[in-house]
Amino acid sequence: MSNTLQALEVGIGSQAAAKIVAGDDGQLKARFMAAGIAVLHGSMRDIQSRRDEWLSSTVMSIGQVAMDEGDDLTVERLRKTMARLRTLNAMLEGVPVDLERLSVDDDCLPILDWFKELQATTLSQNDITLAMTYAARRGKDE
Amino acid sequence: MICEIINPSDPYTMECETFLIGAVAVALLGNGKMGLHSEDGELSTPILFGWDDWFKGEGVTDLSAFLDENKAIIADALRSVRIGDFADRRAEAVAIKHMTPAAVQGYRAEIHDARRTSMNDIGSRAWQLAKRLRGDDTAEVPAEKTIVLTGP
Repeated sequence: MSNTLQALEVGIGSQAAAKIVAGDDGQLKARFMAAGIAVLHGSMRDIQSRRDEWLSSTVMSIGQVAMDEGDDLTVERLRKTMARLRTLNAMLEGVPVDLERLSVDDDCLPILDWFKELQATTLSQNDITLAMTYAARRGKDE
Repeated sequence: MICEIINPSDPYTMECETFLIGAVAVALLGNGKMGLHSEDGELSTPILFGWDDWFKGEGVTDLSAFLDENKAIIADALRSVRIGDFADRRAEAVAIKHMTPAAVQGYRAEIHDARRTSMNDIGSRAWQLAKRLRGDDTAEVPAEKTIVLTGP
């Protein structure tokens, strides 16, 4: 099992992402994309109980693989992903986030667009947090 | 179409295939004590009195037969009852966008409890009535508790 796969197993246990990684040997970018998407899903799924774990373990493990293999593009993408994850954290904590200054890739969970939509409704910050918390339970319900 | 349920407790909305279907659902839900009006305000039902004449005017002379013939869509209307006004209903549609069906159920229940101020739980009554109409005889329907003030 590769380090990336181990990182996925430790941090989020996403079988679908692991399959993508396993079927794409030698293509670090593809592996990172799968891992990045999986981390995003993992962050939503386990936000309540395992936030520290996925930040310190999963993301850093994936980052280590990328750095070991000297892939600057992947390291850069990882930095952006971590920024998004921190943004998610901030939103879930109810911290105001300047969404206009964020750069969001097209290939990730469209969570920030959703957050903007939520903010445009009559929902209170507490209701928005509640909605995001329920959405984060997707993995446990499936 | 989306309509508002007129009642003295909490604000509620309902989605119904036609206004008549919504009216029958609300008549059933409130035992005639509640009313219904459309979002644009052009359609409305009686409240308390005048239901018989109103139904006749809509071409419904045998309410029981109409109910039997339209059980499924009346149940759908009752199942669609949500606490809050029209804007709250639109907000809910956005909120549940990324949720699984099970999570949606939990979220709705929590929102319903948080927003309800009245002892008259119109939402739960509507959902249980919907189950009954769908043939679930075990569904317990809470009593209708609308308080109507009348003169001396």
